[in-house]
Amino acid sequence: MFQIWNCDGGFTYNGVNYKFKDLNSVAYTYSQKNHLIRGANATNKMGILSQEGGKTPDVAEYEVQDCSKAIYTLLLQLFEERQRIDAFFIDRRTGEYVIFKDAIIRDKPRQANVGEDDTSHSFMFAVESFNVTEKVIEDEQ
Amino acid sequence: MKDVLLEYVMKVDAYAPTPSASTAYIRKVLCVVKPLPEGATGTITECTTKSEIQALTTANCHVLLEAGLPSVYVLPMNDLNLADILEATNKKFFTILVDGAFTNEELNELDDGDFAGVIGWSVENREQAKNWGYGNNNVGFYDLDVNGSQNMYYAFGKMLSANNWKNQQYIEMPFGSGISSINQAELMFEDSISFVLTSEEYKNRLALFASNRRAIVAPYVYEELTLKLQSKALQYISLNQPNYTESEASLLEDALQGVVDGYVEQGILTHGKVVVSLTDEQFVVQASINIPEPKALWRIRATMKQGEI
Repeated sequence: MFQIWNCDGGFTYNGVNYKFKDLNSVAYTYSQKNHLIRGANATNKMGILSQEGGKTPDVAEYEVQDCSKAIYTLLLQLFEERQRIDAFFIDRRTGEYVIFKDAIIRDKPRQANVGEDDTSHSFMFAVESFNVTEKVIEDEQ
Repeated sequence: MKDVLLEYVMKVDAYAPTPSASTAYIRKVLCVVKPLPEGATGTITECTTKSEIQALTTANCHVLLEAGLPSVYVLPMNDLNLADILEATNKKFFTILVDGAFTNEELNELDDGDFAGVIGWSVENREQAKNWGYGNNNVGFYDLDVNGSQNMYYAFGKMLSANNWKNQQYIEMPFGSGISSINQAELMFEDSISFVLTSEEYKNRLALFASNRRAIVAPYVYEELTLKLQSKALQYISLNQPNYTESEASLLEDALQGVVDGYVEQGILTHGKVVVSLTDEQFVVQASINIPEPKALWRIRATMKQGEI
């Protein structure tokens, strides 16, 4: 399992890796879901397998507290030009990772609100992809 | 020389990414042929036209051009002592085609040094074609002597000039090889000899094209894949200047896996897995790359039951 204090987040563009200096959290939404359905007469106890979400991309949302101006500017450019990137989240100790490959940046990477509390000092880096790869490594006990 | 004031005001560190390695040589062919009477030997010449080839030899390697290759290297020789010539040349190629004018005895004397590519030879003798085709990356091509190796040249020309790696199953061929019965064809197939089958309806068709009992594209795909993995590793390391950490090893692994995945997406490989891990040594990471052999589908053994129950 990932722990945010052991992890790096960032993205790869044109073969070059860029890492966020201060990352608060990452949230994933995987779109594909399996369901069981059956007739309304309710006699089928096995059910029929049904699937949804095949047309919807997976989403990763990085809450970035701070990054260099160069990376921020590059993100804005990539968003405007709709360029493809690989967004990664990786465990520094083990090398375990989740990578959203051939992703596009969904939201304009801008600070969404300005206020006094901690949560306002960040912007959302949200990407969508149909090609998510991962490397799973056994946790040490 | 840059202006000192400009350099003083603004010093710029120039930076250029490492380009991909060239894989063009994988599709280049050297034809080893008998020279013209009184003709020179031992020199490799790049030819782009039939007339340039005919100025060196009467062999039919111009068929490679007609099949689609933009150029061929031609080496007129009286024997097959090639090691010194191959070592000295600056021309790069991955295929050597030995013309059928060289006999089995001459071929047994072949000295190719440390050449690791594909060597094809055309001969009108099933046993000799089989023996040659059962070594290294060799291709034993059965063809009538009267055809002057043209079928071999055509098959290689088609494969190497194609946009992607295809095994050229049943393409139309320029000449028949005298094989027109199922029994003859079965014997050729059993021995994994490359040959042309002639049928009444479909005329002359390439009925098997293999390198040492494997798909003909296998040695080419391995060579290209190896080169692209090496090139990707160089590009990755020079662009990202990685530290010696688990996360960097994982990102390098993902970059290399992307190269293998490209071949899987094209259907050339069924799967492939790259694993990069740290070691106790300085500077060096350990990588394991598991790639299945590219295979080709040539024949179907079917069972059909007639009637209804």
